[in-house]
Amino acid sequence: MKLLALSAPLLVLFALAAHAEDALFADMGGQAGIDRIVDASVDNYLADDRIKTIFDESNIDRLRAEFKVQFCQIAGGPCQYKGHDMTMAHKGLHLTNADFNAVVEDLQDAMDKAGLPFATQNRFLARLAPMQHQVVSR
Amino acid sequence: MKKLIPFLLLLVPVAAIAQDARTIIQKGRRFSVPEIAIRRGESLTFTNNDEFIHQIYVQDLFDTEERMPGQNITEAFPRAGTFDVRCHIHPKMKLVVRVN
Repeated sequence: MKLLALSAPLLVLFALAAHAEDALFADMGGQAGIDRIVDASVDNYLADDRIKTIFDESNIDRLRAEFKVQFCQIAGGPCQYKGHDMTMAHKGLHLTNADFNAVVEDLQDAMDKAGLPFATQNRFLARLAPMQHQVVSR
Repeated sequence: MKKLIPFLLLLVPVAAIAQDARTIIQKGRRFSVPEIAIRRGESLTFTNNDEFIHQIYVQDLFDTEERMPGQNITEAFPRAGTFDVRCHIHPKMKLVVRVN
């Protein structure tokens, strides 16, 4: 009985954590919303003179599909990204902090166009931020 | 000289094996040659000497897993014909294989 009493607060914490994750996925419009954001972001990257050459050799359809799964997982959605880790995925591209910042700006623009509130954008960007040191290599 | 002969005989089969599986290098998101001719049943070994992950596929023939830098893939060409070898990740990569 004591065990039950002790574990109850833990269960509440787990439930709250799960809810917070699900909340961001839902707040971004679920998978349909994420798909729109990814498509708009990639369109921005390809039109952005600062970074468009990075994608010259890439399979853009494949890239869009991978971003959609990865963003879904990062937002706490029911997806499992099975691609390579960010260090390996960006190896050889020799990306700079300026490149990373341009990518983030283009993503923010896509989220603006999707009508995502500033606070929701920041919650998502906060989860992407730790990737910067894996993506940037010079 | 007597000692050298067994050593030279040992090299003959090694050279024959090297000819059987020809090697194509993947580097700079390109294949080392744009075109190659081989005999039916021969294999090509693709060595990823690039900084990037690669894989290779030929429509209706094979579609490999991804390979990290430093890894190899060997694929046989059992049918005669002309085949385009490509990479799903880097669509500009193309090797034409003519199988006689």
